[in-house]
Amino acid sequence: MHRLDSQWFFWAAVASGLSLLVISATPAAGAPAAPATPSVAAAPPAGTAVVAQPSDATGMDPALSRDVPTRNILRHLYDPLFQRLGSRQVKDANGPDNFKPVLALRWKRVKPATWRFWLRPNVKFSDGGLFTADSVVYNMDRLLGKVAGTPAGLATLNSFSTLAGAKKISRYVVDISTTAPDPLILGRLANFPLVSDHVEASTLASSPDGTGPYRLQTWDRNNQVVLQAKPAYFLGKPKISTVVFRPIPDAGARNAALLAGDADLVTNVAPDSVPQLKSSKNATVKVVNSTREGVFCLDAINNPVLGKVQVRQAINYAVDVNTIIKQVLGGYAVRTATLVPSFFTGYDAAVKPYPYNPTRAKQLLAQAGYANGFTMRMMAPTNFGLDVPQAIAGYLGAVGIKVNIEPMDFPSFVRATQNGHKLDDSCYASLTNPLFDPGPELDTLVRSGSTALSWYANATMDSLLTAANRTVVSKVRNKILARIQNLMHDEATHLFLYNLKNIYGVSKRLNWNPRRDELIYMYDASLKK
Amino acid sequence: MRRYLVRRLLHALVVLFLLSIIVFVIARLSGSPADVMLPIDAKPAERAAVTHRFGLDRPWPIQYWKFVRHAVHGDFGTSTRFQAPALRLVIDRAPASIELALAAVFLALLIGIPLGVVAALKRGTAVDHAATAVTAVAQATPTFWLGIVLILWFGVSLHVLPLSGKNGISSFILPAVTLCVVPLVGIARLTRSSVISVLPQDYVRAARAKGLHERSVVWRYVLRNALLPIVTITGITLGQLLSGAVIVEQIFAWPGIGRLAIDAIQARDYPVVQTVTIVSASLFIVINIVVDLVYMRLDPRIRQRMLART
Amino acid sequence: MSVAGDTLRITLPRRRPTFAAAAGTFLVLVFAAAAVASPLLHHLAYDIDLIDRLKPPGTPGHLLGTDSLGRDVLARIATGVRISLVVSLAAVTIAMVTGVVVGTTSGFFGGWVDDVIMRITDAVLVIPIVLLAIAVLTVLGPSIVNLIGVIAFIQWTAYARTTRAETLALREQLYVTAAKSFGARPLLLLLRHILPHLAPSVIVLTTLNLSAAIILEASISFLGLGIPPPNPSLGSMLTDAEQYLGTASWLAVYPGLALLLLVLGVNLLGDALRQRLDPTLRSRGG
Repeated sequence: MHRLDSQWFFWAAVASGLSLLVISATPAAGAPAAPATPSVAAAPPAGTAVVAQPSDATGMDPALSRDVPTRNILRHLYDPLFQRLGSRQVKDANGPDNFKPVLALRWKRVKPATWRFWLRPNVKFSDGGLFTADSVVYNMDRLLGKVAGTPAGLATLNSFSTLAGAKKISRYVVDISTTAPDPLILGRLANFPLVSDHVEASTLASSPDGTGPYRLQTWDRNNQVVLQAKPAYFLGKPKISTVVFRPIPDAGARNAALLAGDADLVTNVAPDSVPQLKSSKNATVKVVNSTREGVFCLDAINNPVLGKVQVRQAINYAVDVNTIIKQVLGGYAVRTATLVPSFFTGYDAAVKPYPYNPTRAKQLLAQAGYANGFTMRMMAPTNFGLDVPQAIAGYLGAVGIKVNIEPMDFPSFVRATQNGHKLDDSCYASLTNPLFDPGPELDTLVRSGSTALSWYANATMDSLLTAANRTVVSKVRNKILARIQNLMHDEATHLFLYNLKNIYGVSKRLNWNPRRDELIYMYDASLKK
Repeated sequence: MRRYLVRRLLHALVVLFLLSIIVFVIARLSGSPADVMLPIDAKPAERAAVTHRFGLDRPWPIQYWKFVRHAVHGDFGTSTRFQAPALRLVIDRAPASIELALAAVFLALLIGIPLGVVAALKRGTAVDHAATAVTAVAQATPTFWLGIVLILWFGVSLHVLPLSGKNGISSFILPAVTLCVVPLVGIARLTRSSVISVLPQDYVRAARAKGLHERSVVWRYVLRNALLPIVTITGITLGQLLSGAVIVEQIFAWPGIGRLAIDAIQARDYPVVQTVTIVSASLFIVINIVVDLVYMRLDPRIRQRMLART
Repeated sequence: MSVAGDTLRITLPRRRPTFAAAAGTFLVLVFAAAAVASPLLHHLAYDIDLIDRLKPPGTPGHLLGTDSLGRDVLARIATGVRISLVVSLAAVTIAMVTGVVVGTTSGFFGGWVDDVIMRITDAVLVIPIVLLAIAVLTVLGPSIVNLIGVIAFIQWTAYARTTRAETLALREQLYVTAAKSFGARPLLLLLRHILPHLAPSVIVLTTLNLSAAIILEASISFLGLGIPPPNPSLGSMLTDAEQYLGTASWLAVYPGLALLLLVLGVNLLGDALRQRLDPTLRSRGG
């Protein structure tokens, strides 16, 4: 016979249920002592804006964490020397007139490979220390690995592979030099927030210390990051006093948060969700032509079939990119003739995209000796979405090219393509380039040798690329870039696709406009009354 | 009793040891955190530098030895993604998972036990058949689909409940309801069969013969004795839920260790992957031991049998 | 079912089939038919038609609508069911064979072999299932073969433990019998005397594991690590559907419903089978 006080068990269950309710009613455990964590249960209180991104910050040290969501958060805590102007379309995206002063007041090239910066005086970091030329030198030294205890590889991580060093000229004047004349150095500096040189660098990852308009109030990992406006900021106190970043990986959940009023700004909205957001009563949609591009690589080196230019051209004729843009991307992309978006420096409008012509594609395949088509593989990192790869495979199948899609997660893709530089015939990826300049991206995609995503080798192309990287005079450089684009088109180095429009869901109570470089900076935003 | 406990704990240590080796090997086969952290055009030398910084280029046995040496001091390594101690990250996130598991178990008991009791008391009638049908359908419902459907109803159509994250009691509702269905079925069925086996017992009939009110009979005599198996299954369920809530955490963006583990695997954050696996396996083992102890205390026959094996 | 001496005789008691058994059989037959018929629907399930995407159910030619690439939902569900059944049956079979071999070996030979095998199964059992699947498939890459392997790996330990326990119990009896049949080799003893006794529990486990395998495959595919596209899986169809919850809810409802009914059918059929085999054999939870 069972001897059991099931009664005590029952009451124990009730008791634990009640204590559970009590536990969950208290603020999130792990929050450092703070007066009151703003509760984000229903609509955010006045003066607070909530931003929902796909992932959480990975650290509070801007030199170590370079993913877009983290970069967005850290921009509020740290300042760069200057900031790129909004979304104006200019000829030379990295020329000195394209930036507005933040920590640097003016700048001038003093030698072919050296720029001088006059810094803003009397700016303090959160720790109270002063921002001076020493701070800039320290930050540059960190990148070069000269500061003890700093991890290696920071220069590459932050796109500073051309950096030579920094030298203090006087208290508020500093020189920064590159190994060779670099037309993009200003753009690189604009993307690089500076940390305090008065604290131990290893503490920055969890305790940020910058000059930015906000300070970190709490970081409840993978739940929310709460930023509080500083009482005094040299460009004026922010109009929004509290900014909360919430990581919501699922796109549908992000949209739901916006619709329910739990979030004021959500990123990475899928095109199919736009009608629903537009028709809601408390949200709308904002779109911007971003720097993000769809890239379809072809292995012209190891795959003899793809090594033939006619085959590559056939592939370009076979895919109806305009329909993919219209149907799969909801029209939220712009066709590019090569890999250069229209608002990038050196864009050549004379180069036209391949028209959709499956008959021509079959002709070219027959000319190349593949009248019956052939089989090829396609690596498809899942984080870039699988709809477009499948659509492309569908079109290629219609002209006789059978495609076997290999989905994989992004680290596996990196591992496969980087270690040993192997590509399984082709791949689909989307890349972003915050420098508004095709130079670095083309280096990655069409230069021969064991470069990251290039499986194409052409000596002419290589010398053109090198020339473009070293030329600082815009007019000359633009001519070189035009020649590169023509060559890319004729050689059909890739299946040319599009550059994407970023779609943001914005609550009607938020005044905010998107930036082309995908940066979310709430200092420029305000809440409606 | 002491020998029994020692034996169980030793057994657990061996299992954890084997588990750590399995996880260690699988993790390292999948690539390096450098693949995730560096931009795609990083040079091989830079990748090598980052890999070296995390100590991942040394031979595996040496890495493992280092891991064990530090682990016994409570240092499970530093997350490559968050640059914070891995154990700290797991412990910070564990309460969210534990609370969700408790909420789900609570709901499962709250609904499952009465359901089972009613079905047993009204055995063979339409009520019983209805209950059986409901549990059969509930058992067949895929957890992730249920979560999505609930989001569809309550989020998209009705806008009444929070759909993601952990912010106050109302945010528990949808994930807990989604998670409670599987244990609920088990509890309901077990309660039903347990009550059915208790009902014909002599002491029940004696109580009825005394003229006691039916409800009193059920409450004081039937339930007391029928609920013993529920204790065991609750414990086991709790253990399963702690690790099985991974998909629910993903759907509802719940900041628990399930999501932490998925993110860590995708980012090749080995220290966190290892720590999460070992911690959740340990929790599972501890819960099992506790359940067995409680079971033994409540039923002397079981105690004898288990101790005799020592 | 009775096991007399060393022969196996299955006698099913005469009983009217319950409603649950009939429903289960019906569902399983419907889905099996759909699975068998699905190759006929290959084009509907695989051909991309970007103009016709996201059409709601009831559009002419598409009973359950189309998905984000214009493919017919009903055809994809049928194909998904077929793939799901193939994967689950293959995985369960491999798990069964492996588990039975390991379990009987372990139980029969005992000693340190038994100990080692038991510790290994213990270690495998405490690994959180989904995490193990994610970790392994991330390393190996998603493919049908890898998926079958992972599911089989998760399920074999249950067979091993059960058969080991039964083998241990039977071993004692066997030594007596063996003494009588002089010089009988261990392997022969194993095959003729032990395996038939294991059949009931193995069958019970298989019915339970089959529905578990179906759900496991769907869950892993839901996470993007299972059946690779463009092959449909009931799980991955739900992943695609998540972003269309507000605009194309049929993409989420029907595949999930199909999965529910499939698992329900297998469960009901399994329950009925278990009742028949041995009414006193309580399935987990009765």
